[in-house]
Amino acid sequence: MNRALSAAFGLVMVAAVAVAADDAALIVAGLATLAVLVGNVFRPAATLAVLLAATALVLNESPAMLAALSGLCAACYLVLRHTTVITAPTVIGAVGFTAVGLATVSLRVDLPWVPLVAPLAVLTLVALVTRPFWADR
Amino acid sequence: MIEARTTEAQLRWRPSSLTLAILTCVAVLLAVAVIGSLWQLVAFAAPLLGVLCSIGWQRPVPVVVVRADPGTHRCFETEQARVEVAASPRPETDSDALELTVSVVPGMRIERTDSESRRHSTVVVAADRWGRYPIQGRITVGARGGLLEGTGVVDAADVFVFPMAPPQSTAIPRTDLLDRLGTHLTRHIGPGVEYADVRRYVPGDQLRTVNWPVSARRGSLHVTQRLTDRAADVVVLVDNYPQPAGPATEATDRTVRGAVQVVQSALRSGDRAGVVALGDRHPRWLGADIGRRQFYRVLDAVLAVDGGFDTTPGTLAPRAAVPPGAIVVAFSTMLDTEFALALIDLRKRGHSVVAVDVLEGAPFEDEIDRVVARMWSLQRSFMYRDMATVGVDIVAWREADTLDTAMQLVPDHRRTARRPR
Repeated sequence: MNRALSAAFGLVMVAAVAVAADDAALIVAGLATLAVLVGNVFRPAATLAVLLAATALVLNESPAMLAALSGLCAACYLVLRHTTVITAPTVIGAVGFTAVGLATVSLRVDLPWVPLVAPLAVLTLVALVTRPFWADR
Repeated sequence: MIEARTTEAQLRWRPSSLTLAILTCVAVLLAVAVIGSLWQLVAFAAPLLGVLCSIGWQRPVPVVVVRADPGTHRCFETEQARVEVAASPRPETDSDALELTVSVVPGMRIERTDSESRRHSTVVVAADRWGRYPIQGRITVGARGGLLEGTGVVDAADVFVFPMAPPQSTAIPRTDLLDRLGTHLTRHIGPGVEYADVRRYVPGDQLRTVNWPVSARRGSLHVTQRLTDRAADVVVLVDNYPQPAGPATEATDRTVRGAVQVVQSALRSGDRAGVVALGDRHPRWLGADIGRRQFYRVLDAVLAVDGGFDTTPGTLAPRAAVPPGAIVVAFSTMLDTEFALALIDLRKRGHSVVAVDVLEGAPFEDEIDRVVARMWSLQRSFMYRDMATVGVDIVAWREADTLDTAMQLVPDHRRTARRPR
């Protein structure tokens, strides 16, 4: 049951990025589907499937809405692949951040200094997010 | 009384495989997004970041309690012991996140494992050598929405495996026994079976002791005297001091085995038996007593099961543990000076002391030169002689011999046990 649900989420993730895909993106999406199927048995393949889906997304130049949908499915897919249930805080976190991500992407601001700040912002973000995992040691 | 034991596991929390997978994806996606200015990837990575951030709002980590039934199990060598181990989280979380695997230390083997569920299993274990064997429960638990993984090892239960002693009776050294009825034939005259002498009747003698044939022949009343049987107090001294690695450590196996055999044969012949385990700064001792229950109490004291024994500080045998006139049989590798001092102290208190040397040859792990081996055996024989001069007889007990044959070699010089004044 759990395995089938996670596979379904994985296939939706691939399908969302493969909408109206052409040659290269289609091939990568096919590989991602294969990785989703392998991930059912071999867990690390699930990570590869998510990364392949992201590659297909870039190649296909999908709209932001489909990217967010695919990302949401990817999160659910990974969580279900590694654990048995999705807790409420996980869903709230994923959906909330999807909204924030969509807002960020849609508010395209063309300021000249954004590329300069972006790496630092991303680094700070990752550090803040991972803080609970290393802070207490 | 057999009762269950509950232990709280000390868990170490680490990021789980889920966290690592999501973090890998997020790091790769954001790096590519920044380098290539690909804004769709930010939208794609946002939900994954959200899952990582949700750790702050997840339920707190559970406390895992491992319950073992029975918590303490006693059995003899090669006997099977059945222990039920179950783990439960507090507060209750989803059932598949907690996994319990039962393992044992080397020397013990698992005969059968029945896993009712992932957190509850029953093991049947057995061991070939005496000792204390902890049954370990290895716990893996996921918490905080699967983002953290806790692992821990708990000593869920203890299986105490008692040594099986050979049934042969061991001889006790000849000494003046206490005036108490028992099974050891003495030269004292009193109530008994064995014929001793015939003497003239004096008023006060029981009429049934009158020897009528002799009385008729002599023309006056004569009575038959009998040799009396008396009981002994046997206190076994066990050397628990740490031993150097190699033959000395292997010899400690026979220390306990021999002690149990002496206690068993003493109790079987109706004597009082007690035990003193010297070493580790707190000697354990159990006062001398009779009966079958005492045998199991002695086993408990030797292996330090529960608290059925007394402890004292110091390195000498406490006075309360060794009643006056008791025979002391010590089992040791005779390598530790403090143990030898305890023996000499007991001798000075007037007990007859026999030490059984369980060490065979030199206590070196590697192959040694023949000259060194010879010097070692000379040194040992000097030590034997010196101790015998003090009054402590030492007999060597080799692996190939049985204890009863080794104890036949106790020198048979009659000593009068002097009471301390």
